[in-house]
Amino acid sequence: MAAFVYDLVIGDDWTLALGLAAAVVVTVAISRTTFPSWWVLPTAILALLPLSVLRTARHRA
Amino acid sequence: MSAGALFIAVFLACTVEAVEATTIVLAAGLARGWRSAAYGAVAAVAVLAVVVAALGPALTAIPTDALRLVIGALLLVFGVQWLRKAVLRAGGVTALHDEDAIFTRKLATARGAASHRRGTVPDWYGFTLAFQGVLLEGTEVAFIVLTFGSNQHAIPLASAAAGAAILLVGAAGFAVRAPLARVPENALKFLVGVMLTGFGAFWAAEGAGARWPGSDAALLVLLPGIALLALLLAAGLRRQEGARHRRIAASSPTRQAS
Repeated sequence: MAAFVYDLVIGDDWTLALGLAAAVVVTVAISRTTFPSWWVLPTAILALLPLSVLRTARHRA
Repeated sequence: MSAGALFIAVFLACTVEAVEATTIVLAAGLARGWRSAAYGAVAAVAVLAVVVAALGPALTAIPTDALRLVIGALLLVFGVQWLRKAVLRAGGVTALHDEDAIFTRKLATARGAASHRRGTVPDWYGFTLAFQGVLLEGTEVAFIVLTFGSNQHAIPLASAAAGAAILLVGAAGFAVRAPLARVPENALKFLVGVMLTGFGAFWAAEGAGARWPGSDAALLVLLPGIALLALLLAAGLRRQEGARHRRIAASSPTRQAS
C-alpha cells in the first residue's frame, strides 16, 4: 500500500516531488510577509520540470 | 472554477484511467469469461465508491485554506509527475502508451492461467485480474474526484463526471469488445497533466495565502503557460532524439566496416 501511494504521488523522480514540496513551503513563508508569493510555484514548475525531463532523457540516451 | 470546468476536467482525467481499466477488464472477459470479469470490475468500483463516500465528507469538513494547501500540493506533485511522463512520451524518450500491445499481453497471460471456482465466482483468476485492474486505475480516479471535488465543495458533481466517463468508456469498450486504441490517450494524458499541474499550483498557492493577480483569471495564463512549456520540452526532446538516432545510424556502417 505504501509503495502504491509512493508511486501514485511521488512517481519516478523523487527530487521533482521534493523540489515542488519545498516550493510550496517557500510560498507559505513568503505569504506571511507583505511580498507577493503567487510566482513561486509557476517558477518552480518552469525550473524543475525541464530539469527532471532532461535528466531522464540524458540518462536513457 | 465553474461547475462546467470542474465537470470537464474530472471527466477528461477519468476517461484516461477508464480506458486503461477497460483494456484489462476486456482481456479478463475475453480470456476468462464475462461473468467473473464483471464481478471483479463491479466489486472494485464498489470499493472505490465506499472510499469516496467515506473520505469526501471528511475532507469537506476541513477549513478551505488548509484543504486547498494540502490537496493543491498533492495535486501539483501528482500532476507534474503525470506531465513529465507525457512529455517524455511525446518527446520519444519513452514508448507511447499502446492499449493494443497491453491488451495482447494481458490476454496471452490470462489465457495461460489455470482456472478454479471460488464461491459464486466461476473463475477466480478472471475476477482478480478485473478487480485489480479497476482498483489500481480507479484509485487515481478516486484521487482526482476527491481533490477536485473537495476543493470546490462539489464531490457529487466530480463523482458524476467520473461516473459518466467510466460508463461511456466501459460501454464503448463492451460494444466493440476490443481495446479503445482509437482514443487519443497520449494526447489526453498530456492535456490532463497540464490541467492537474495548473489547478494544483493554483490551489496550493491560494491555500498558502498567495493572492493571484486577476484572481481566477490567472488560470487563463497559468494553464496555457504550462501547456506551452510542456510542448516546447517535447519538441526539444524530439529533436534531440532524432539527432541521436541519426548519429547511431551514421556510425553503424563504420562499425560494420571496421
